[in-house]
Amino acid sequence: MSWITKNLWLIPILPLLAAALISVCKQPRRRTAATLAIGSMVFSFLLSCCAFATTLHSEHGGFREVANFDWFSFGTTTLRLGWVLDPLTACMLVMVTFVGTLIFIYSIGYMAHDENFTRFFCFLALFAAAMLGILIANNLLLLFISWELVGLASYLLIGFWFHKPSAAAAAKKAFITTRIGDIGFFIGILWLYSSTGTLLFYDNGAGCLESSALTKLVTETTFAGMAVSTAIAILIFCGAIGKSGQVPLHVWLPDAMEGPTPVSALIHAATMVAAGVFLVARVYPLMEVTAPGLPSVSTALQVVTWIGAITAVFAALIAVAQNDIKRILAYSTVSQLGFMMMGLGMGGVAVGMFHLITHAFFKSLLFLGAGSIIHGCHEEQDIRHMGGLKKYMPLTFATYAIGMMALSGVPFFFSGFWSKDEILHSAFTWQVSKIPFYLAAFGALLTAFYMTRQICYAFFGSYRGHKHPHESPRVMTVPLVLLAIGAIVLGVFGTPAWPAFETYLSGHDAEFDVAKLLRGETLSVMLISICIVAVGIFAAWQLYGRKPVKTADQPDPLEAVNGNVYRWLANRLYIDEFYDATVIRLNAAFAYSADLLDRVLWGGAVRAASLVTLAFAHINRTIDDLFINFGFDESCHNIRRSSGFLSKLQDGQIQNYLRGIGVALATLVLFLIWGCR
Amino acid sequence: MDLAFIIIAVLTLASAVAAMSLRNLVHCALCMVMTFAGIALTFLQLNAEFVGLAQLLVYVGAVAILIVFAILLTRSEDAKKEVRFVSSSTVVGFGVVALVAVSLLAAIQHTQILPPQSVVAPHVSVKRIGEQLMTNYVLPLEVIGLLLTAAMIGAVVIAMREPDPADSVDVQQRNGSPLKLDPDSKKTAVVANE
Amino acid sequence: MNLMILELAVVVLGLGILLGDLWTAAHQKHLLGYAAAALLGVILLASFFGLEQVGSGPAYAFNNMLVLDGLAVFFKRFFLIAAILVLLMSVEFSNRIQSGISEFYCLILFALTGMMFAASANDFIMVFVALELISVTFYVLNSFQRNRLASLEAGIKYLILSALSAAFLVFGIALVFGTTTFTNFADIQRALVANPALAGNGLFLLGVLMIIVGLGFKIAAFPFQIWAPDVYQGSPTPSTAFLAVGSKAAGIVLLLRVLFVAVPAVTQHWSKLLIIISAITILYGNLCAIPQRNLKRLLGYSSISNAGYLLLGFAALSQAGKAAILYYLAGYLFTVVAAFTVICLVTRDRDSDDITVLAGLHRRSPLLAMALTMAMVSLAGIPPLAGFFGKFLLLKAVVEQGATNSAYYWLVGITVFGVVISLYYYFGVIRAIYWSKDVTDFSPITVSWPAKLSLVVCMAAILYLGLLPGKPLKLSEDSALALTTPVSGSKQLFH
Repeated sequence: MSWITKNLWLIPILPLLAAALISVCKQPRRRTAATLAIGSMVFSFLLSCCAFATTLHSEHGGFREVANFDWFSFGTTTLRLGWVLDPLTACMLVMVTFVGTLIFIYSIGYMAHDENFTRFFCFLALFAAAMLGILIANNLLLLFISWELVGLASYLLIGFWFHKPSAAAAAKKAFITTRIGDIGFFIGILWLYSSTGTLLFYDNGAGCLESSALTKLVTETTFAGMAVSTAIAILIFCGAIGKSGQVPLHVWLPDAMEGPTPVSALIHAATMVAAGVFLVARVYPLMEVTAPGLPSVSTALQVVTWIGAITAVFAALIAVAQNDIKRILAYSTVSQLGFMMMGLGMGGVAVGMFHLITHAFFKSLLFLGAGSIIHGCHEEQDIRHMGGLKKYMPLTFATYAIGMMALSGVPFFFSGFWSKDEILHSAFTWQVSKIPFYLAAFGALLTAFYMTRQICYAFFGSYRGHKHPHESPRVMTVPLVLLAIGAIVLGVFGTPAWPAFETYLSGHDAEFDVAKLLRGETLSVMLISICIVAVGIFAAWQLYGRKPVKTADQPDPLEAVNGNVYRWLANRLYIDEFYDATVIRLNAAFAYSADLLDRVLWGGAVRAASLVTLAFAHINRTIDDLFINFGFDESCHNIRRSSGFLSKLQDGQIQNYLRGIGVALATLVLFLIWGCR
Repeated sequence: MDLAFIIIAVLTLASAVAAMSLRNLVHCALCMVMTFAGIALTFLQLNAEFVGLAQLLVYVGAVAILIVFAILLTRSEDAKKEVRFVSSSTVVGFGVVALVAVSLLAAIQHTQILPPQSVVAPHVSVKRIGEQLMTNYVLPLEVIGLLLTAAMIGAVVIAMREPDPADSVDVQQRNGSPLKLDPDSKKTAVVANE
Repeated sequence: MNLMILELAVVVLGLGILLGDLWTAAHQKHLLGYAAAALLGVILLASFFGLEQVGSGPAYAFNNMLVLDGLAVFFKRFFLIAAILVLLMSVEFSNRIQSGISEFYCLILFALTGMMFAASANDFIMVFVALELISVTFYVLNSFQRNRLASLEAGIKYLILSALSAAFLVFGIALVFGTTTFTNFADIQRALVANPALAGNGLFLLGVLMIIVGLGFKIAAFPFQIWAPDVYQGSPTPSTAFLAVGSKAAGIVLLLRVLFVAVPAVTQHWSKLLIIISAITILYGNLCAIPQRNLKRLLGYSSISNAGYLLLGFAALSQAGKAAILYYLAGYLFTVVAAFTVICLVTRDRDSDDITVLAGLHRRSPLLAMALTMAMVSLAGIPPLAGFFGKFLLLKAVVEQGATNSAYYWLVGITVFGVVISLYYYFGVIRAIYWSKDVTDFSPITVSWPAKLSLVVCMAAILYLGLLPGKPLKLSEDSALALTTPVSGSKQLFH
């Protein structure tokens, strides 16, 4: 076992330690807090790079090292925890620590004037620690604990400005919504444990993701002839639905933008939501396993695919009609997560994860760019009040445009093109159904459309705001440039000609072969994808770019085309209202009945207990007054006068005590005589 | 049951009751001395010479004198007002005493008495006790030495006069630092025990 | 002699502190506490190197009066750690003791000696002298703040009630000696095996009962808990902490030895008694704690309920129960010391122990607020802290016995009920820290670095015991092995 595997635990522990130290820092010690948090992240990043380097040169069959240890044992059962280092973990580690470090640095500037600066860094470090814990876990329980910690940290971060009612509500919404998914996740964990007896992923052939356990799971069936493995996989996927904002639990993600802009937005959009995708990738063997003799795609993966496809289109539709720059990006994130799920469902780990990594880069870029725009426009978030920023903020515009093109999938030079192309390609060749391919294509079209719309609104035309916009300072633009470079370069690793990422995950060596690009299927999908993007951008340009809106309150051009559809989209397809009417009302009814129970049953019990206690106290006092103090007061009266000091010591209680002990002894003796026969 | 025992027992109990119920503290102390003496006599009558003599020396000799001194030093004048003998607290007290006594008696009553072992009354002499203390029971003895040291330190600390000037006006100030035990005496005490 | 080297070292240290007092300037005397704590630390470290022979089995000395086995070593280290932490606390307290601070340290060390002897006691005579050494030092420690009536009152109350319990203890020892002619634990156990009728002898049982009464007083178990709240409230805070941790643990170790080494044949048949006492203690402590507003009094009642939890392990009458007791005690040590240290620091400038002094503590000193929060959460038994895992082990031991007697299930139910109602007052403390409406005082509290260190150590230990229970659990299981009773044929011959 290499040293890095042995010490992999350091990666999450360092930020955790930093969080603990910061939590005891006094508020004015900003510099200490920031240094601790960033220092720990940088160290984690370096360690992650080492881990990544270790996984690069491996012999055939993929690099995987695990370190398991006994946590504790009671009776004959031993609970074992552990961590795992494989390419999947390593690439995610690098991504999270890199983006995390940038966020931390960015936050110094952004939160400089907040009075709870130290608290913010404490939460950030806690968040990073929990996220890294998810990545290295080799045990579903450890993963779940970290998972819940991520939920807690994001709750704290979204509600960081808890004095704003909307932020407090958004935090609660995020927490509860993800918790709904986690219930399924937890049931899945319990089920898995009860049927395999282990929660370790890899354990020298005895782990729950290794062949022996999988064979067992797949042969057992539960209700309706479903394999146990399928049921468990779907339950675990419930957790991913919640955390990664898939339909129908996507509602929290756009609201999460209430957190400190854009830092926590960035965390939620680029990093945390990846946890769900990562979870699916981590338990992929469980997801894809099918019973022998049924060589089709497993049911669990079909569920993943369909949910992903629906989410991709659904969120993209909503994004078309939003006006808040961050909300557009949030819905875009939801949509892209759908793409990732689709990639996982149809193309395998590499396809989904590649899109995750590229997306992390260009979405961070877009969010930081949005932050820069908001900052430059004096905290204005509504794109209708922007416009013409191209000439005020040239650098932001350039990098934002790169991000937009990457997200839309403009061909050849942008990473988004290649990662999305792989998804489309795997959808095209999927055996089960062609519909996901059409949905994905439609989603890609919409993506190009709403991103172009956003760019047109923000950067073209004439400025429609009131205060004079300005370019952001260097500390904010430099990360933008760095990320922009990443958004371009990363695509190289995932082209069909040189599928380095895919082979890295599976442990083969990549071969460079331009000929693959020109193979019929690949070529046709690529052409389709290019057409889609072109159509999307062209349509948006027709609507928004050619005749830019003049004033802020002018109706949206799309609204002019078809008002009803636009209103539906603008109101997010009334999903929140639907939930209000159904789930929340039901929940309120439950809460009301629970409250009633609480008052009648529990309150009654507590009141009864307190009454009994009071009654005892009363009896005690009566005895004290009548029997002890009465006689004692008399005799003490004179002594008290001569020596108040002594009388205070002898205020009647100790005699009481002595008598009490006498009675107690007698009771015990009598009990001994008659009770223990 | 011979007459001597009855007389001694009655005297002991009577003086014990008197020690609790008399109003004059000095009288109480004297009655307590009589109780101690009665207990010592009982021991002697049971052929337990050592315990009897120790009881006489320690309790009648030392403890009683200490108590009388304490009373004389701290006594205040008007502590003599008569109270009702039968107050509710006495009733409760007697009740508890009766309960404990009854329960203990009941417990003893329920015992099958063990077959009396043929106990040869050991010849107890001070010398043998001393030997036992210095051999088999040397460790408890040492710990008791430590205990006494602790008790002495504690007594001095508790009884030490407050250096706080606000404490009282008529108390003349002692100028010095607080407690100064002679360290040598403590050391010798422990060394002697070891 | 080798077996009591630790005790000797502590006594010499105590006398050294007294001597050192002579050559120390008055304003520096409180620093002697650091010296004492540091030297105790050295002794603690030395115990890890000097006591290797323990691994090979118990060693006896002084006519079998002393035993050095795994259990004794466990508790000796326990007491040493407790004393170190309490000494550090005492230094913080020194400004509230007008004179004689070095005597305060010295008495703590003497009490520590008594506790360490108690850990090794294998004879009723040793039990008595060790307990008396503890009691006598605590009379003084409790009434050390002579200018406060409350402290004097606590001392006097402790004196009288402790004397009464000592009388019971001595009476019990006399009865046991009278019926068996032995005072040594091993001898008594052998006598019970040889003569099974003895276990049905009323006088003998009465003697054992009275011994349990005397020890029950020390651990504050119902119905002998009556002194605890008053004394806890009135005593100086370090004394209270030492009383709550050290004195209680000394009672526990003696109770373990008496019940499982000396008279196992009797204990077998007293499970009902232990169940009832345990259940009532838990209920009493938790119910009475609810209306308390005084922090130390609240912890006094909490200490009673904790005695009840510890008795669960006794009632289980199993090896797992004994190990759980040791584990729980270890967690309890750090939790309670952390709580009292915080109280000691917070009330430094005030005369009140009322719960309102905590208002806004998280702004005045985040470290103190965190430590107290952690201590309360652990006491309330919330995972993942030490208190949770200890309670879990105790309850598990009880549940495992459920098959033999359904009363155990009732006991579990009552315990869980007790734990639930205890949440109320523990969280009351946390609420007082963070959500007090009328915070008037924002002055930061300065905490000296040794106090910080001790708090950090406590917090780390609470977390460690809650998160990584593997090693300490193994240790307590090994230590409890000393209490395995040899298979004796006396069981079926009872009555």
